[in-house]
Amino acid sequence: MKRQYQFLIAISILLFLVPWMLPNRYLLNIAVLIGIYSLITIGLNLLLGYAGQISMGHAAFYGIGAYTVSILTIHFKWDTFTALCGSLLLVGIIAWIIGKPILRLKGHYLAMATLGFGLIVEILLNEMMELTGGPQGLSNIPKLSILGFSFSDDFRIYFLIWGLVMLVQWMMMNMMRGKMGRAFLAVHSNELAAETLGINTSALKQAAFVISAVLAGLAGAFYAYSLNYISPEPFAFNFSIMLVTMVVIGGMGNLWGPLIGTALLGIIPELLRGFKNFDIAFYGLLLILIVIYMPKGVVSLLYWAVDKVSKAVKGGQ
Amino acid sequence: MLEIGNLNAGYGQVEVLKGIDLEVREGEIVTLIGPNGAGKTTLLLGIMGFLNGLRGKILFRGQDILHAETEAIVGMGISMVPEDRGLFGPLSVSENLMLGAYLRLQGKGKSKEDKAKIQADLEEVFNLFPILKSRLKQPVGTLSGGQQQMVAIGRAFMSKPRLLLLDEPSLGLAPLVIKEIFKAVTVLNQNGVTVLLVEQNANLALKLAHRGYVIENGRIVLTGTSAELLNHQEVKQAYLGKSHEAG
Repeated sequence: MKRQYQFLIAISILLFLVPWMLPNRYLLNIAVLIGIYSLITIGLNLLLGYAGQISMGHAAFYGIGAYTVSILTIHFKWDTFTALCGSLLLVGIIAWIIGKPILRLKGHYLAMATLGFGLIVEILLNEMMELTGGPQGLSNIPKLSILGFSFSDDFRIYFLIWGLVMLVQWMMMNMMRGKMGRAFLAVHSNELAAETLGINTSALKQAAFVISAVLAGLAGAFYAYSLNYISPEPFAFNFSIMLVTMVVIGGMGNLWGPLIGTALLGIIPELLRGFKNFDIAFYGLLLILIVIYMPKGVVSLLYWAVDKVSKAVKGGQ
Repeated sequence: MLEIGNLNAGYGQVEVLKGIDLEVREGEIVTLIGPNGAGKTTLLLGIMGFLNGLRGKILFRGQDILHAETEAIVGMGISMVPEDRGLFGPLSVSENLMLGAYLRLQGKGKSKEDKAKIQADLEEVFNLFPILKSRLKQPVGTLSGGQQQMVAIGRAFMSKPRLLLLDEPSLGLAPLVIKEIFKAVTVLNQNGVTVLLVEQNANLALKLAHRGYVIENGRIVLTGTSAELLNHQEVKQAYLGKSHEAG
């Protein structure tokens, strides 16, 4: 576990240097986007990898977060930070209300129910024209400013978002290290037995659901504040699937899995641009290969490498 | 300590428990024996608050727990070792044991005293099952059946139960290992834990317990002290078999 914290510090330093290493603005934007997605996938991993519950509708919470801050700042002229807090509160309440009945379901049924929720939100975003602007979306969303400090350029947004990602990651590591983490693993491993120990499994699942939804809402709000324009498309069903894919490819139930998966799935399409129209085919092929050869996710590659290196070091002594 | 009166329960249309009366007094080991499908496990699940639509009476230390939540029931001092042991396979021995103390660690501001007490109980588990101390970091899934049963009992003990429910602890274990497990149950009982033991191995169970109940088709058909049941003609024929008569 101590090594985990060292790793966190190392990653943070690396991420701090990234903006100066990137040759252009476009790549910085992608780095920001990967940070935003990471906020969602870290939360989704809590739900999927630790509490063992699937959600095929997390793009909806992402969308609600984005649309709420946009509507509150544009239509109601709220201050950006207050709107951010309001949107997180709203997402939390919605997740709490729908989580109650939905989390009684298991397996495929839970997948279907969350998927249905995602579709409903998608339709609402398209149809509630007066509020959401329909398929055209909303533009002229203000930049986030906190106590007079405006996150107006990409550099500032980058540091804000990645700082938050590292903070959330740190909080997740602390949580998983203690009693709470054990309880989550217990629920995942044997729900009935967990209950015989007095673990309130439904409350725990509910907590994971709400936390992951609020993180997705937070990501959505930052998305709106950094792009200043939103439309329903990025919050559609496809993106929910994309999020689950990121967590699974990275390695679910591992603290670093979602970050690795998100970074990979964010970067790979850029690297494949050279293949022109064939990029989708290569992308699909890559995913298939990863799932076949690294069923525990790409993060297992990391553990394998660390193991090799430490053995080599020991052997050399 | 535990008082069950005219308890009925079932799954959907199927009635499994049909008017169960059963009592466990403080300090006792009581065993419930009977064939497969008689309703033994259902009764335990009912006590733990896992079943819907229970009718009848379940009192624990005078308090009605018929409709209580499992969490509350565990908090009041009942702990169960489920039939399949219900261990968390990928987690280590120490993680499994600490999960037993989950409710005791609940809430903020736990004093050093509380933590010291939990540590002391952990030591007691190691006194009971010394082998576990050398396996602390090992995933429970890699242990032998007997050692897994030890972890399961140790984990249940970590919640500091007044009443321990054991569901077929001898299942799938070698005779020598069963002996060790049963000896540990006796030690726990002498240290003040009341035990309700569900068993198919009637001979062993009756030798361990003070009193016993025989359940068939969801009804208690016979009850008495262990000695009475061991010598009862029907019990001998149905559950103890020839080996007992020979011995």
